[in-house]
Amino acid sequence: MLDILDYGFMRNALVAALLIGAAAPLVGIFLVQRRLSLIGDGLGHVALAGVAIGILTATSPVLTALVTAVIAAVVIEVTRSRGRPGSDLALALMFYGGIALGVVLIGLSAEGTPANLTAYLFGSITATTTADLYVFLVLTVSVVALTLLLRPWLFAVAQDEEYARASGLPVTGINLTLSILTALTVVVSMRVVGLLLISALMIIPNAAAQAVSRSFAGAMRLAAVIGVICAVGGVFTSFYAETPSGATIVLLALGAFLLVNLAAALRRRRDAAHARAEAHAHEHGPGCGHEAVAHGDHVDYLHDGHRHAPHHDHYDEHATHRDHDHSPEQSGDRR
Amino acid sequence: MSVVRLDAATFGYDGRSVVSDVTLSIGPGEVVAVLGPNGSGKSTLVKGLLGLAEQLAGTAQVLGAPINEVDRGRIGYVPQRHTLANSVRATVAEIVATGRLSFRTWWKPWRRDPEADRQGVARVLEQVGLGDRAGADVSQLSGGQQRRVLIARALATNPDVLILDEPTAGVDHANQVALAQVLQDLVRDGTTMLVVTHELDALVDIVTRVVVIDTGTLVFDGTPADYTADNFPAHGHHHGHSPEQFPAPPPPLTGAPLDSGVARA
Repeated sequence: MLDILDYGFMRNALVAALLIGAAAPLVGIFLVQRRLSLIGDGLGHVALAGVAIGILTATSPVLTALVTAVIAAVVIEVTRSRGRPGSDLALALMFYGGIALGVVLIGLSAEGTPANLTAYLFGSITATTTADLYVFLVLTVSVVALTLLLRPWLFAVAQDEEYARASGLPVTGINLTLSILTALTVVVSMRVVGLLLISALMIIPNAAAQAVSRSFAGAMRLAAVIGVICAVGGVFTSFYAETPSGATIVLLALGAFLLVNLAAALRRRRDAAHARAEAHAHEHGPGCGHEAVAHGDHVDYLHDGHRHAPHHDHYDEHATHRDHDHSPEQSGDRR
Repeated sequence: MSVVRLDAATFGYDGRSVVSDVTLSIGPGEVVAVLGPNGSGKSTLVKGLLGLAEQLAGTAQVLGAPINEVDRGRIGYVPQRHTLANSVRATVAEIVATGRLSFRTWWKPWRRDPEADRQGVARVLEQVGLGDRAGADVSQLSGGQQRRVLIARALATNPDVLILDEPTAGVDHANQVALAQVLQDLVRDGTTMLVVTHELDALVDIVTRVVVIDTGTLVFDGTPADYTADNFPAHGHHHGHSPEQFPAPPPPLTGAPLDSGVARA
């Protein structure tokens, strides 16, 4: 298996995949939280125009895409936050304009082959140059560090913008920061994932992680793990199956989404038979303050209107007064 | 020193005034109920105090400072929300911890005190009776419990004044009683409170002063006793106001208790 690491382009692609697999979901969770899951798509569209400018002017497409995407991100956030009638339309026009301009300009350039365009749109494992890799490394480390450091503020603003404003948090600044982080993620992802599918790597791992997590922090960590597995796995698969890497990564991520949801559904079925009460530090016992209710061979404790029964290291959820007669047979089933 | 001092203050949005010419002074420890029909401007008034609505005229001070200069961490805000469920999961502790951000500086995000944050969150959750639910997914809580989470988040800043927007709306009776108990404990500790509400009944034991806003102006400012005596039947199933002020509602179609002229959301 490791012979593929003899290829320089594969080493570059794998390192790039590792970086974006972690970074994209970390930024993406805040987009999901703010219900802006599709913003990454729009930024990808506009970034194509930036790539085309780079190709036409024979400068670095990564650099021009970076500048274009950051400017677009700021314009998008300002337009969106004003919430004027027609701001939605304005964004749509900008996205269409970006991709159309990109395709036309790339077509006009000497490098404008269909294969080249496909590589930009859907990703290619051969596209990441060593020079790109150094830029990506610096950008990704900055994106991840900034996202993790500012996580409490990003979370607070996305969770309840009005409250954040009333608390004196720098709401506009935090929202602009998130937009720029998204733009940077789009650009570092464009080689391996491609500009049309970038958003998928920001969103799908989060969609999967939401199905099984209870906390924001837990969901964020799990999404990053899923992102890394899918990105690296996608690059490997792409090498052997000779498929565009971005599309392969996205299909793997969708597979992970289905798998995690299946696992969650199975767990729910198991839990329905054995309903575990929410975790709590409080220990029920005689005189604990919760009403004790005799229930067959054991004692339940009335807790916020439902009944907790001790079971090993946790409490089970037993039926409430209303929907349960207290016959021992039934309680036996439930345990 | 007044906690809130308004002198002919006008608040609104996009340059249009919604509530105007309000003169009001609230001292420490007062518990003020802000009443009025929907659209009267009572929410805009408190949003003006929070800097969420524009101040268009007059002077307004909170905790001795003009509104755009006041230390927002000293004001606890409980917004009117019907659910905390979001598009992503979050635990009760994670939501409440956002209230602790007033103790941190965003441009120095590495400066943090996780132990103080953890203790601060645990303390306010204990205060609102949710001490054992810190790790619970907030979307799994009942509406009344979510409201208590919002109160805990506001308390996490150690506020000098608490502003609550409809804390009891849409909450069942048992949870209203629990909420009133939480507020009562805060009142005992001397917390100054402004409560926008439709339901004075639930809070009648703690309110020391009633302010009524109607069509953008302050029309009543007095004690709950005056409010009740002054043709404002505040008890029983009536939530409200004299027939002169608000038109009588159409007769109820069912045998349900007659509500007052105050439109309910």
